[in-house]
Amino acid sequence: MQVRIWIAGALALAACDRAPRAEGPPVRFAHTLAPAEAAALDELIAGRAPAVEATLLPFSRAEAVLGATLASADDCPDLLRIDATWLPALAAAGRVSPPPPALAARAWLPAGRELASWDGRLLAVPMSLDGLVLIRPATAAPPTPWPPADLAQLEAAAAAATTAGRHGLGLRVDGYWLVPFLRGHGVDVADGTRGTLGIDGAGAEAALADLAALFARGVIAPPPAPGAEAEHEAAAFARGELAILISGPWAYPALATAGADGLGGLAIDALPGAPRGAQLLAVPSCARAPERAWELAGELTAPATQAAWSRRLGAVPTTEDGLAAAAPLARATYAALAAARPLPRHPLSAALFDDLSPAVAAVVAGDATPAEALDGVRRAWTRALAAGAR
Amino acid sequence: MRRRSLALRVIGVLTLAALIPTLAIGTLAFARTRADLEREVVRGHLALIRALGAGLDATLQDARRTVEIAAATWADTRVDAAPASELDRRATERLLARLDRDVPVIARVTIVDPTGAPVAGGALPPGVDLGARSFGGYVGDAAFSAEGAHVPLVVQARSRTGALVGVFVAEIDLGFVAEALRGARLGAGATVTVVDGRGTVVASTDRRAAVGTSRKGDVAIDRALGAAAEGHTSRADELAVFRNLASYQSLRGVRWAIVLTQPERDAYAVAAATRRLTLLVAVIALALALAVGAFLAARLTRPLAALATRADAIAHGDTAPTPPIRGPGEVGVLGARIEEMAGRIGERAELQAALARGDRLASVGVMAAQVAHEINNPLTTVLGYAALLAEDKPADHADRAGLELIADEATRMKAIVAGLLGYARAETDGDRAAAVAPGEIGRLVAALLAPAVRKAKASLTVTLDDAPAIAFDGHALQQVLVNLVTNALHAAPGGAITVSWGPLPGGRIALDVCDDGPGVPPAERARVFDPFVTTKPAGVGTGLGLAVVRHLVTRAGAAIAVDDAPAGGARFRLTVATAPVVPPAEAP
Ligand SMILES: Nc1ncnc2c1ncn2[C@@H]1O[C@H](COP(=O)(O)OP(=O)(O)OP(=O)(O)O)[C@@H](O)[C@H]1O
Ligand SMILES: [Mg+2]
Repeated sequence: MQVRIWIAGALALAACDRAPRAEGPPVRFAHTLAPAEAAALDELIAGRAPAVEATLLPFSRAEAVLGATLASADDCPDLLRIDATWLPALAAAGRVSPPPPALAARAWLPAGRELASWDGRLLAVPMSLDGLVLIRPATAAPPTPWPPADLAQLEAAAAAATTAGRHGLGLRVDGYWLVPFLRGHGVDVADGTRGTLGIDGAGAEAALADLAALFARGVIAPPPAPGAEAEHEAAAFARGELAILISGPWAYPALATAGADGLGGLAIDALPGAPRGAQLLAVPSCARAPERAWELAGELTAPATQAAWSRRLGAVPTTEDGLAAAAPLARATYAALAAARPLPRHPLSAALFDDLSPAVAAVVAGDATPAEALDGVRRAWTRALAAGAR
Repeated sequence: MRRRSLALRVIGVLTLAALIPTLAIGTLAFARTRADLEREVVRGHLALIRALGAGLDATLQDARRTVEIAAATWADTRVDAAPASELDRRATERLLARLDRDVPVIARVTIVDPTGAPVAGGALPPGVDLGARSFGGYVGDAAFSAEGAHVPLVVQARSRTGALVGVFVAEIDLGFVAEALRGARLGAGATVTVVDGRGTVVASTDRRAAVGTSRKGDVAIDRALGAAAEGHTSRADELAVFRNLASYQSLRGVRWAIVLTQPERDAYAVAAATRRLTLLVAVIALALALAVGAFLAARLTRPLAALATRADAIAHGDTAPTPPIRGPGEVGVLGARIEEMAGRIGERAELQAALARGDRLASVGVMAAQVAHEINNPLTTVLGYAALLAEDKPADHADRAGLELIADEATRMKAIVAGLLGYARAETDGDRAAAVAPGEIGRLVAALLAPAVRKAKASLTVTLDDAPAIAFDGHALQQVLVNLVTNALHAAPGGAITVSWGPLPGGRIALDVCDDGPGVPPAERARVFDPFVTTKPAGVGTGLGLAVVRHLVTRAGAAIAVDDAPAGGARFRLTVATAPVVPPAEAP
């Protein structure tokens, strides 16, 4: 009698063990996660059913590789983790499909929902918010005036904080980092939606000249060799050689590892004129198992997961519940990004930096005047806008 | 039998004692070596592929840097890609030839304009994009042709102002990857495979993994392509350690993964060998323990068995001293102790006999006390009446002497009874400093025993008058002499009995009672002093006479013994110390 009860119990347990697992081919997930994020993903998907077959795409190559892969529809991934600036191009080419209503109805924060949409439709789900912010060591007294209300105040504070052995500001020689300077001078990058070139006029030249002057005066730390920016910047920050660092949440894990106090050692403030962005989860139209892909996207953006990743990586949640439960650093970043503006939402926007970044590098290196450099950018953007209009 | 079982037990205990630590250490070694060595194996493999990966990456980045410098130099002052002159065209061609020559891994370099139209070095290889949104350059995915595997290295050529002038596309011959893998020192059965971002084999030491074939679906390859950095996995008895080269540098990473696989059997060969060795050592240790155990058991139990045999003999009463059994340590001590014990047991047996005798004497004492008590009352009556009758008789009455004798004898009996009571209570009257002149007692005894001597038709000669006073109670001496003479009368009726004395050295004298009867055989001489030892028929002798004598003599600190008399009969000799002062004569 008792034996039979035991056997029945064991069978029931075995059945329970199997029941909730959905079997099937693995979900193919192509991502651009940084090492710390990829490690967190590994833990999340370990033992998951259906299994997740993750493929890492280096951020620099991801857009091109995805473009080619999705165009050929050969070896198509089920889920993509992409930068929000890549969505317009993919959406315009009809390469992504919208999330199911249940997922779309989740309480996404407006900033995330905006960047995951194109042409008024939600075509992806936001995984995390990012953009440029001001990062300081939490233990150091802030420079004055603080927080800066505009670019002029930031430059003043950075100049004041510059001493022997310490630079007031750290940033990357890259078009994306030029955006707050452009906006501080009343211009922006080209806006494909309106057909404006953005860098016309004196404002852009002044912005570039401004940046170059800060480098020349040593207010901004000299640029490291290309390719090692992240490590270099984290090490300099940890050594206290940078009073203020302009960067985004993607840099937090490296900064936390290099510093003594971890993520808690970082103080975040708003950067005037900062660009705001997001990382999205999208399902390509060629996906073989879109439902499973959206299921995984739902898990990766679950408020509990977002809160956990905010504690672990400083990632900024994209859901209201996730933000409510997020770590202080992520909430501070969210607050700092409140006033930031996205780049113009256009398929061309991401490509603009191909030409802007070398121009900035040429000016900072002293190889070209701002006018000469911007002339080349103008030519390239005009060509691109014309090609895009066609 | 007993010896055998003991030996087996000793072997068992020693084996157990060896087995428990062997098992414990062995188990520990097993568990530790497995975990540790496996971790070490993974660590070693990771170090190897890290070095391999770093080597490949360094080669590619070197080539990239060289092409970047060439591209920047070429584009520095240009506005567009088209050659400005014949001179310029030749300079460009020389630059390409130099890159081809000086950078060994570069197979071919092509320059195209921003639209992809060829400028120098031939046409754009198929499937290559111009590096848009790639931060100015990239290492592409591998392409496979009859000429071998190649990978495009794309570098945008920008002028001094940052404007895009053209694009350099260098084809890297992947032969260097295969060469690097061939140079790697791999463990037994291990293979290293490098795949590109699509899972296609770029190079491999595994003959089964042909260059250009896709390995997508292979668990290790898939894990490697998805990993942020490195890791390891184990499936189907094969260990795979991998590293994704895309993570080497965040922006310039090459979409490659490097995977090292090794059958677990080979990977953990050292662990297995260590385990086998541990097992062997354990078995040898156990065998040694058994052998040593057997030897020790034999050594230990041999003297133990001898001890057991000896103990058996002792149990059966053989307490005669023998040389002690030798043995190591405590066993030797035990042998010596057993012999000591045997000696003690012998002594104990003698002691016990003596004690039994004492017991008998004690019970005699108790009986004597009861008898004495019972006799005391009628004696008092006899004494009372004798005195009463004598009182009525005139001094010359014929009965008077008889009556006085009755009273005297009754009084003496009372004294004997008192003596018996004293014997029973083990009283030591000896501390009463007594002294007596033997001559007086001798006369009294002669008078007392005259009727008995007459009746026995014997003669009694007492020559004690000149004897010195001795340290002896008068009553006691009388009792001793009466008993000895009475015995002599019994032993030699009609014989001649002498009571004499002689000096001895050391202030002592000997009082001898001799007869010419049959004497006491030597074997009987010790026994005759024991109570109830008698040769006389019941009702005639009780066997107490000599016992009382010895008791009295011993109590007075004197000694008594029997041997042959000069005349052939028995001689009872009382050896007694002389008294320092001659006391006044005592009335009996
Ligand atoms: N003078 C003697 N010659 C030979 N044998 C003797 C002599 N005196 C004693 N014995 C032996 O020793 C025995 C013990 O003597 P003991 O006086 O103790 O007892 P007993 O004479 O037999 O009895 P009782 O109690 O009446 O004296 C005697 O029975 C006798 O055999
Ligand atoms: Mg007698």
